Amino acid sequence: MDFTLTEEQLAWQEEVREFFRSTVSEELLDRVEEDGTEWDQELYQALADKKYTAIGIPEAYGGMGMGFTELAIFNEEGARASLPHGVSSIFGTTCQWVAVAVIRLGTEEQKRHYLPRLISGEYRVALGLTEPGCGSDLAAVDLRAVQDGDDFILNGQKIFNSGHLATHLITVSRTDPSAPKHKGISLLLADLRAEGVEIYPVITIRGWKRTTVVFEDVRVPKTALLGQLNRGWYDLMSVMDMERSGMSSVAEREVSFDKILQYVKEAKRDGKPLAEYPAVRSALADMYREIVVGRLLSQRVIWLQATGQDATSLASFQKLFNSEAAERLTLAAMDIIGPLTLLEWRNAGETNKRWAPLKGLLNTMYKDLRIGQIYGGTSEIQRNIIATRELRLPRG
Amino acid sequence: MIDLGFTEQQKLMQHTIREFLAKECPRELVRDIEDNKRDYSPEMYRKMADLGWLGLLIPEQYGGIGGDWVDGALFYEEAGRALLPGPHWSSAVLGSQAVLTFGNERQREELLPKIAEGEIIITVALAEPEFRCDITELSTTAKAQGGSYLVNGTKIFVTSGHLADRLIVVARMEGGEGKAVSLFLVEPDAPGVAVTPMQTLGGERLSEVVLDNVRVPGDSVLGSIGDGEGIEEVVDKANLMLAAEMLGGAQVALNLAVEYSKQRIAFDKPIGAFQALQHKMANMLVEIECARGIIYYAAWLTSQGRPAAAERAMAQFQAGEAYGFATREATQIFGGVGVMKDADITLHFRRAKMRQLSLAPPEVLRERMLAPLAI
Repeated sequence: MDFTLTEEQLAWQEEVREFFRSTVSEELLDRVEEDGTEWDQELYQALADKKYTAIGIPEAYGGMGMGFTELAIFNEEGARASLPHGVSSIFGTTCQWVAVAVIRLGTEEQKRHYLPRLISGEYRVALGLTEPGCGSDLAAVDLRAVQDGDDFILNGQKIFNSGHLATHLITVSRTDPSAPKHKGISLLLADLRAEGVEIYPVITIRGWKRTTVVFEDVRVPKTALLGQLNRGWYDLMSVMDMERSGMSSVAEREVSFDKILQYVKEAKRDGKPLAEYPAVRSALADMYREIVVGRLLSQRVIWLQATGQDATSLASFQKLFNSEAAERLTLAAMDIIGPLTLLEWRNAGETNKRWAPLKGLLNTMYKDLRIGQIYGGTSEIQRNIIATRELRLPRG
Repeated sequence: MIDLGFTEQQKLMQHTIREFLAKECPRELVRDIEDNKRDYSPEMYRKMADLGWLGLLIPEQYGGIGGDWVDGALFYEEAGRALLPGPHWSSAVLGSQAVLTFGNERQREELLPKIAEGEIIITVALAEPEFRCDITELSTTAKAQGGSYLVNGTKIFVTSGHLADRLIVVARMEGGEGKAVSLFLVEPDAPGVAVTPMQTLGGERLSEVVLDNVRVPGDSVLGSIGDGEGIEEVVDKANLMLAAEMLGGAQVALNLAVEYSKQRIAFDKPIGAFQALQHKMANMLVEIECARGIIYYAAWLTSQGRPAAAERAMAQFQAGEAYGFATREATQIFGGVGVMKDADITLHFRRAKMRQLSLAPPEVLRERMLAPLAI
């Protein structure tokens, strides 16, 4: 057993940490939080210029060919620097998901076309899975793609994505409505600049912009079909083993915890520093314990992936645990800090900004509570996965 | 390089222990001990000595096999699955580590091989009715008199106290030598020593040890006078093994619940097909995996000699949570069967609370977790 990184990995960690330190400034973070885009084009281009977009892509395809551990180090350092979520989301989908899918499922021609453009930053891809009528039951997708000559014609909607930041949408589409639901799905890499695509904003409770992408008679060439026709569900499952250790969410929680810790050391209630109240100390210990424990779960997922073992179940454990631990931390911290956490910081006036502790951190985290436990498989779906796949309990 | 797996040797050891305990530690034995029909199985203890497991944490030069804390955790996870009864933890873990940490060379050479051979059972008498964790509150005293010491006080919750051939009694010095905490090797049949076992929720007996003017020869001080304060760290490391034991127990509780819920039919379905129960069992597994991660991490840190008091506290806390939660949920899943004394799950249900309460209290564990944060 060994829990230490190699010299090379430590050097990589240092390099990446320095990169994020120099590119993700406090001003940039304030700006993207205020405008709700969570996006900075220059920052994304800086990632591409450094070829960080290619770290998970094998060398044979012009990538850096790094392993899961190195990938996780990168993601963790990004999170530690509070890399805006729009950037990390597009980056993850484009470079760690679609690139892998193109390599595994794509034709030689597709690889030659897409990979250099994904790496250069010319193509940025968002994930088009969820529809207004289907989330957890993903195989029920209803967006229709009908073959017509050299094209598919798309009609339907994808929601809760980052379409406004992307050039393409990996679109899980229904190509055979007469087949059983898992057997009539295909994956299309749809260009969002095509005629008939409309993108509408969806504003989340946090104030982030997400989008609904509406396809109305949109022509997508058959060369954009990734994998086999009507085998999309199985292809999708086969590429689901991308990095999903959740180390980023642990790192984010750790950053928040450090700020909370600093605050309770200094702030007083009724003349006594918050950190001196036994109930506060107890809550802090629980937060810290759950960070260490959550980090170990994530580390184990990475190790399983890095050594070619099945990490499906553990990825579910960590997702479930870490998203729920984030809720516990947020609620406990709000109780500790009290009504000051109610003060808005984002888009608020000077008085608000003066009083809101930690730039409204807890206020924001409260608004974020549900997101973590819904996107990427709800807590309930994770429990179903654990029960049926890991514990082999009968399906209901 | 990160490697979170067991070595081939560890996997083999795990397999051997599991096979051994399946054969040598049947439920009847566990139940007999629960019912106080017998105290432990000397025969099984002898066999464990032959396999080297009493010397698991004892260096080879003292007759052990020189395993580290990860090996220990692995052993204890299996022990927890089998509800291994007997004095292994008291003697081969707590006692041996106290001797190894504090004993002088003569004492190590004399005692450790005997512990490893199973020739003697040794345990530590630390807790008192009004003292658990703050060693400055210790009320058992020792007073120098001639070349020996007179020890007075009452110890409680002494594990395997009624089976022990030697007690390591923790006492503070009275008079000229200040409040220094020291360790005394006491034979339980010495004049003035009264050991009384008490029945407990978890089945295993814990002893009260009353020391009334017990005369301890000068060469029976473990190490030197004033050496004893570090005993808390030794107890803490030994308690990490209890955390691993709880992990094994929690896993069994889950396994039992899963098996039962696949067979038990209600509303024309196996009850395991109902999501209300599936989600309970998924939660149990998550708790268990959380405990597993931190236990082995703390064991690895401890083996490396790195600071690990906070992680050990987390491991113990998490294990207590996991075992308690898993056994409460499992007994609920068992329904009526879950309240029957004969059901295996109820053995774990009771053991879970017993083990958790034998650790440092939750608020003490939490303070240990916070210590590295300097808050």
